[in-house]
Amino acid sequence: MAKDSMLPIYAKAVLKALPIGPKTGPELPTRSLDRSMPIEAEAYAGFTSVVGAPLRDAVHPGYLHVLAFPLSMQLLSDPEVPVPMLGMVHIHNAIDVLRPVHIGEVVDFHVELGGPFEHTKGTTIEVLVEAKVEGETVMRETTTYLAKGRKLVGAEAKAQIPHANFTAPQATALWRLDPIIGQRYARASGDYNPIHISGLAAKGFGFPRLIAHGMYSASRALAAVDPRLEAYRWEVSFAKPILLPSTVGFAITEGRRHAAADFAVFDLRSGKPHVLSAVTELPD
Amino acid sequence: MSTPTQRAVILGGNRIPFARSNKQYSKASNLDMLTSALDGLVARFGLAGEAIGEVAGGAVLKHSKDFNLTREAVLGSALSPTTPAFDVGQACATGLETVVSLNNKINAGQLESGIASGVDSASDAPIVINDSMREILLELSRAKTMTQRAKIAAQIRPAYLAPQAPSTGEPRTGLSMGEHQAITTAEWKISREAQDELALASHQNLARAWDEGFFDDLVTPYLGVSRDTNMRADSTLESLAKLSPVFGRKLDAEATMTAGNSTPLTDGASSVLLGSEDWARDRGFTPLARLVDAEAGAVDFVDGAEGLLMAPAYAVPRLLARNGLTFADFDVFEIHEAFASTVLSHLAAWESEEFCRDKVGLDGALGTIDRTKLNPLGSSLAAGHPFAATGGRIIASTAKYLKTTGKKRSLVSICAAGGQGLTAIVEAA
Repeated sequence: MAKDSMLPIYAKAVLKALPIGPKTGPELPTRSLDRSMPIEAEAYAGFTSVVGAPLRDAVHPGYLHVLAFPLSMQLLSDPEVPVPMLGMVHIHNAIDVLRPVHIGEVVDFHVELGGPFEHTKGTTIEVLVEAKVEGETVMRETTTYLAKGRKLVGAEAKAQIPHANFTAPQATALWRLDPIIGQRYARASGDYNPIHISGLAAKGFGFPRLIAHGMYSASRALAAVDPRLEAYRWEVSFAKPILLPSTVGFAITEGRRHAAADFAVFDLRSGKPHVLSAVTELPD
Repeated sequence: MSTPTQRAVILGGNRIPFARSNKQYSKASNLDMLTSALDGLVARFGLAGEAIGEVAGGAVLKHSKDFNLTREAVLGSALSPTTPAFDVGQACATGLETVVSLNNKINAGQLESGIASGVDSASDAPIVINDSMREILLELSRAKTMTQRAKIAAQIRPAYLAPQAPSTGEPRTGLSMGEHQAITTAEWKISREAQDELALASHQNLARAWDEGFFDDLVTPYLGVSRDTNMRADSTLESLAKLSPVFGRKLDAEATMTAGNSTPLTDGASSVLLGSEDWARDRGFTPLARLVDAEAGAVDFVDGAEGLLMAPAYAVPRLLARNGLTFADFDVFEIHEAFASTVLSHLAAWESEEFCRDKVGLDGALGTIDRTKLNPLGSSLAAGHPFAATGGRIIASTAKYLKTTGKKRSLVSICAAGGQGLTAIVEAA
């Protein structure tokens, strides 16, 4: 179980969503946060059992995202951030694994914000994470959040990641997702965003039902590909959220298991993508 | 004459009639059924109180409390309690693998006698709690103080209490076996008619064998059941054609797999008696046949590169090559009918020059199987398929068939979950 509960941060975020409080400009606070976290086997096992990853010494990069997540939420919930954290949508995630991180290692996280950037649908903010072990950079992550419908004067221009054309292939795996998966991933990751826990809260944010954590689906998909590469880039684009319960399809569309690959999680009926992802090898 | 490493012979078998799940055997456990199958064999061969070299057995749907299932069955049977036993697991190939293991141990001179066995109950299946509840209960058991326990117990949610029944889904894909086979069926363009014809032949052949008394010394009645309950001797192509497809309905191709041309969930147990030629002679047992070679195979089905149940299509060519045999050298083909379309996909693969050349590495097609030699006693479509019990059913039946008909050689092939398959050559003794 993750030790950090995000509840206080979400409570703060709810307050901030109310139309009161300090007025803000387009600039982000330049503050950054640092924290050292040991990779503990027991807590890590909680993560692997939920996302279906093998429990071995080399850590799934989705777990490094989980460890840095409280820091990123702390930064995003800063009253100086010009867009409200609640209601932000995680649209893209890119992690460079420069070398595998192992259980027992102590990881130093450095987290800062990037943006705000212009986006056709609003404004995006990036969370930039650098993870080091004994001074050696082992992982870099860029997490992109979209504040839908919020246009900020003064937001920087940035090339948007284009929507990939996607034709659903034959599903090589079916994921039967119970609503409980939201609670299980929350327990393992500490991400208690109410849209994943409470149907009512999800409705409040305009979803007909509970939705699965994006990083749950993304991490499970990566676990299915299980790249056996020393250094690689893991990119994820989040399309339609997965409503719970549901059965979704998974397939590798290019490449193969244990190597570089393109892969997707998609709606079995409509064929529309939920998660589009790719693993590419990085030069040593 | 046999070579020194070919001393093992198949002496006979005993099974209980197979019954569709949640019917006559719904209250019988794996242990109950396996013990009954062993006791029937003991009675038939007069082995009460005897110590057998080793008993091998297994079940696919097995509760962790049954870690020593076969040994427990031995202790509950009329065999001497000094008979050792071990459990085997290779999904639907479990039963055949018990035969292969004991056969090899006898050939190696480690054993003089052995009983290969297998059992499965889809009715008395182990039910487990969901992973969240399991994690909490395990944490609770590790907690040291009341406060810790209260804190952990407070995490229990009503939704965690829902139990989970075992499914036939592949762990890595979440697709059921039928859904996997439906993809293969579409790829090989196996028609609905061909599948129904194979299913009909299975029922007719099994019914004929029962009527002729073939199973009289291979089956012992159990709980009031004296014949395989799934068998429909009065099946017709018309009645089979009326059934709606159950698998592959979401594929682009026409859905062709029905409850009639797929095996039902079944309960049952089987056993096979093996011994060295000397052991058999000393006891006056007549050898029926010998298992001369076996070959396992596996395919990469996870990414969809090959069909889940296609491993035998690769294992059989290797088995034949090693033994210098072709299809023409066989009098009988016992190909386990997981689904009618599984058998037909294997036949199509062996007839395909492209498949045999590009995927198996042969010069051309392996060949065509004479359909009159295919499953002459019916197979799983008619008899049902209690997973780990199927290998024992096939081996005992085909060994006796070779003996009684004077035929020489049988090819046995069983596909299994996990993309695996086990194949064997059985020759008249």
